[in-house]
Amino acid sequence: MTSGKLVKLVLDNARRHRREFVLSGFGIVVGVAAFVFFLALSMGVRNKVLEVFPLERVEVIAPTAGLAGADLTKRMDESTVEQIRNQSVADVGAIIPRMTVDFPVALSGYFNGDRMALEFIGDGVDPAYVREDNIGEMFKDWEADTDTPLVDCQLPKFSCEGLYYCERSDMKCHHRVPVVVSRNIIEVYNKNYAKSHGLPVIGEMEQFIVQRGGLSKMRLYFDLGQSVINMNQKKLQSEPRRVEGVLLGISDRAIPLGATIPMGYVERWNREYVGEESATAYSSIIVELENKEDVAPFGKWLIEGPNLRLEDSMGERFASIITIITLIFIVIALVIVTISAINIAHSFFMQVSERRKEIGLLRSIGGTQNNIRMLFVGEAALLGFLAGVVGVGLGIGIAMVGDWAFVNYTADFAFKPKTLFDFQAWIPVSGLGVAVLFGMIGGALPARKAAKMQPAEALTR
Amino acid sequence: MPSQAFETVVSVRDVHKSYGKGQAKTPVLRGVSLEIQKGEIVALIGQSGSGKSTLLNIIGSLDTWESGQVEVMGIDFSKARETELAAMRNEQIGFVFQSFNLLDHLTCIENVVLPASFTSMREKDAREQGMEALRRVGLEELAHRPPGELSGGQKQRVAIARALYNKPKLLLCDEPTGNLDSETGENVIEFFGELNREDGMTLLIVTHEERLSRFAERVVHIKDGVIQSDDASELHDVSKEDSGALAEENAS
Ligand SMILES: Nc1ncnc2c1ncn2[C@@H]1O[C@H](COP(=O)(O)OP(=O)(O)O)[C@@H](O)[C@H]1O
Ligand SMILES: [Mg+2]
Repeated sequence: MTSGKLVKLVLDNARRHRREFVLSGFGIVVGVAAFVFFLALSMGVRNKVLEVFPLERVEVIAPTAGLAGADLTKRMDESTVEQIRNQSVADVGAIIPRMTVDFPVALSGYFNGDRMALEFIGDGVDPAYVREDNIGEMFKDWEADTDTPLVDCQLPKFSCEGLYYCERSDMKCHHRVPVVVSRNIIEVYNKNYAKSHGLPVIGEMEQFIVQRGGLSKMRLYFDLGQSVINMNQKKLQSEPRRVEGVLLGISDRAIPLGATIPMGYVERWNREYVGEESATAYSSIIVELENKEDVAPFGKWLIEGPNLRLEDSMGERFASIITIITLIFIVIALVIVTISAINIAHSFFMQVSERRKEIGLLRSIGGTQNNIRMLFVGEAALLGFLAGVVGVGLGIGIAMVGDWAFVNYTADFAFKPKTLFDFQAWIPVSGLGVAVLFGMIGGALPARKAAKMQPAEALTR
Repeated sequence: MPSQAFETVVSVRDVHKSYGKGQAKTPVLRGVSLEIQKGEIVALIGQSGSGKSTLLNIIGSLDTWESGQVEVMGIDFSKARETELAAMRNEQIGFVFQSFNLLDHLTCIENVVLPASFTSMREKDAREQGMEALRRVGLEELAHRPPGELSGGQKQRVAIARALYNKPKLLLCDEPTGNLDSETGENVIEFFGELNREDGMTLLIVTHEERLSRFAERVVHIKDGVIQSDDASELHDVSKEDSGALAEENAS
């Protein structure tokens, strides 16, 4: 029997048994709809999470203080960077040491006429690293250039040209400290802060800057040695002073929720306010691995080698939670299709009994046992396939309704995606595969019974 | 003794069959032997429950048996593979049933070409061959009607067209006129005669109809699973002309 003829026989029978088909295929429809819906949902959410927290970008930290109160903190410095560069367990791309300010700094600025002050959460990085991310030449340590003489401030207004400001401690014009922020902080500003404070939402950063008359208008103020939160801090080596900054733009390489400046500034400020020790130790080292798969071996090497740790990756944590939830839903979906397979088996057993004469006849005109088996398995597979098509369609439909409700009926929040779902091609394909497979599983035993039927006996009753 | 001129189509030797197990075991065939030569028309008659259908089905490789030998067209059933037997049923044997066994969800022509489902014949050729078979039974104009719309006689002719589809050498008929009125039954019987004369087809017909057995050249009586009489054993003495009369005698 050729497959074409098998298909014809199967289709003839399917047409004849439409009602049974609809009834016994219903469970597959529901199960497959749930299957593709949850898979696409988890892929969508997972992608979004990993977009915000890429897995292959890991952060190396020193182990924290021991229980006995002894300071076990291991210092990380340039030699640590060398060690990471020379290890052989993982292919590393960029290695970016970061240095946080070790004393309070308040960051303030004027947004739409309102003065906003925040505790400065941020750190310094090698400017070259951020410049790779389409940030121009202005992101550098301007103070490192000691050859060009500084211009005196113009009195009486203490004014300076362009992106320079008047530093009161030496009455010279210093370049403003260049600042970049991550896309995430703009998101947080837009969705949470701007909304609750009635401020305009930032669309494109360029627009934001143009609105405010160009970069030089984007003034930020670093109040070194002052805290917005805590006023009586530990004794600092220097008196508080104000340094001005300028927001240069958005970089994916800025720390996720804070501001990033060239490391030279942080070094000098730490030396000035805390001491030499603080000016040479890195707070963390960002390592960009070439492969996600290298994260685990690299983490193992860190512990066994230089006695360092990997900061728990947010991406990793979310991704594993999502995976577990997805697995639970997939199990539920599979339970539904399994029940449906049992239902199909039941329905097909009845069909086999009802169609005894037909089975006997087909055997009498040359059908082999295998032909009969294939006929019933084929019908079950077709049933699974059709139910699968409807189920995939239903799953996509529910997802579209869900997306629409999500976009229109939930409050705006940071990183709110435009869609919750990611219907990668393999999802509907495997949905169909599951449907056909479970249809065939349901049809297998009845098909066997039909094939084993004694033709003479089948014909008589 | 069959001479060289005879070609044995069916050879059944000392076949036993029973249904059930243990206490409930009831024998249906008790040492049946039967030889049919090419070109013969054999009527198998006997009371209901005497084992006629069982014997016919065994010859058609549709049923199992317990002991004895069955050989049809050179194929020893006990040694043949399942696919071999299926191929034989497809190409060499045609079945005609009392209840027609047409599939109501298909048209007449689709019913007739069903045997082609199990071959690699092209769809178009299969149709053509099917129409030829329908023409043979005089029903080509009803080809695209579902069998449900046909009369009993027409249904049986469609079923015969299906049995003839692959031009089988052996036609096995189980009470083919049992569901027909006497006139249409007569037509069917005449058609069988035609098949035998023109195509040299061998026919084994289970019946309890007088007319049919009279028309057959050879009548085999079966009772309680045992062959009571067989014209073939008297072939040496009885001329062909007389066999009809003898059958009549035996049937009564
Ligand atoms: N599948 C079966 N199971 C049990 N008994 C059967 C079965 N088929 C036939 N029989 C019995 O075998 C005997 C012969 O049946 P059958 O060959 O159909 O007789 P006939 O065709 O001569 O009427 C009957 O008594 C019948 O009841
Ligand atoms: Mg019978």
